[in-house]
Amino acid sequence: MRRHCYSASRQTSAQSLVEVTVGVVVLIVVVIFLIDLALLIYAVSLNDMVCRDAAQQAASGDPSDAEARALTSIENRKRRQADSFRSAFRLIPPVKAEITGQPGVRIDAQTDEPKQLGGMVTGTVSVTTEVETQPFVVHLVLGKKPPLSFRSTAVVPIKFVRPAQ
Amino acid sequence: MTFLISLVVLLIVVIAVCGLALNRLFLNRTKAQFSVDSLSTSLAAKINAHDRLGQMNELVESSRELVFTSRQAVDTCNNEKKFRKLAPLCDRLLDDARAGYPLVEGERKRMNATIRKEVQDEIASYNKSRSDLPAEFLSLKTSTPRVERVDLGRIVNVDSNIKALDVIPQLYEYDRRNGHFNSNSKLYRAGRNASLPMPDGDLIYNFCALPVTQGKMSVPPRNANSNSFISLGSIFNDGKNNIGDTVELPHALKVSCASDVMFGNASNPLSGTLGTESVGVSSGAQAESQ
Repeated sequence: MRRHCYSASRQTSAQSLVEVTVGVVVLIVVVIFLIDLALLIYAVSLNDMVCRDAAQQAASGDPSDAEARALTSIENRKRRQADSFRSAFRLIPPVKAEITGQPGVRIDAQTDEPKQLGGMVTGTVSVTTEVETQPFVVHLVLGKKPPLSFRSTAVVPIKFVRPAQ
Repeated sequence: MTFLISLVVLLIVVIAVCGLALNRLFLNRTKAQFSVDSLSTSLAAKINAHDRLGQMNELVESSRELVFTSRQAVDTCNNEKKFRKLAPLCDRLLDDARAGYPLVEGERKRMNATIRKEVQDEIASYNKSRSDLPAEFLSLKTSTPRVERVDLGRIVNVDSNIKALDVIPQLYEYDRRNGHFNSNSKLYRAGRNASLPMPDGDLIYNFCALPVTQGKMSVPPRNANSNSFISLGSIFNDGKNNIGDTVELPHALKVSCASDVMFGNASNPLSGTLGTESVGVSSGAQAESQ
């Protein structure tokens, strides 16, 4: 009788141990997947933010230097970025500046040379950035090879008033 | 034990999905704010296209000075014997100067109406072109923002681009005593009647607020804090254009937008509205106007 009880108790403990082991393994996989997914979404949202900042910078000044300003903005962001080992941003050239209106030129009466008139430059600047991220498991679920890349595009009106010469 | 572990896994998944959906909601809110900021800046850029506000302020000031100096000439002719024979000519000059006032004022009102119309057309075009298809993520749908209300106005503590000059000392002194211009910057104040001394006090001179140039650089169109915005009247409300006029010319506008948010299945969704607003300020006066 005593022997039978001891055997049943051992069986229950073993069953629990197996259940806990399997359960913990499943839990760990689920948690890793969720953390990975969260990091992926974080990288995508960060890319959106980087793209918007770069577009704002690109639009605030002479459209001919728009790409340089966008690059500077992205480089500054990269420097601040603490988890760059997981994801990397880059600018997708070209930065498109669509100018719809700008001040013309006048011929100087004394020198006969063309001089730039001052005035507002209107139009939009479009910036595209890409983020590449190295997931642990998400790519297996999505059926893609790492690194995963995501693009974001932001269009901002030009904020520039050309000074007169 | 299996049940407990399944419950924990389920709980973690549910919390994670809710977290991601909430994160998506905030992300959509940020995106909506960004697009409303862009819209308000591009609308504001239209207000002072080709520096028309700066030129109008110049015109108002020129008309004001002309009336003042013509009145001075009439007074001189009446008071001094040697100039008395020029009195009819001076009267004629004063009449002409005063007759110029309604022309300037009429042009200012026309410009006000044109600005309203251009902004209203742009809003209609934006609302028409925006996509009504909502972006969906984990059964959370968010539509692109639609313009609900637009107010024209100005930014607090921004004076006009017109500097009070001491070329006409009497006018300068009169304006200084009446606080028509800012004693530090010497720029005429906006949003008040810069009236002339009697008997020309019946003429109303309103300057439009407009940032001045810094050297050769003009202030570009930009976004501003909504607390610094003073509304002069709404031009668009609940999808309809408002008819009406404002005394002052605007140099800024406030755009209020709404995005529809739905969560859950189509038959019984949880729905709400995400509100976003943005203030856009026009470019400043240009060096040539100065």
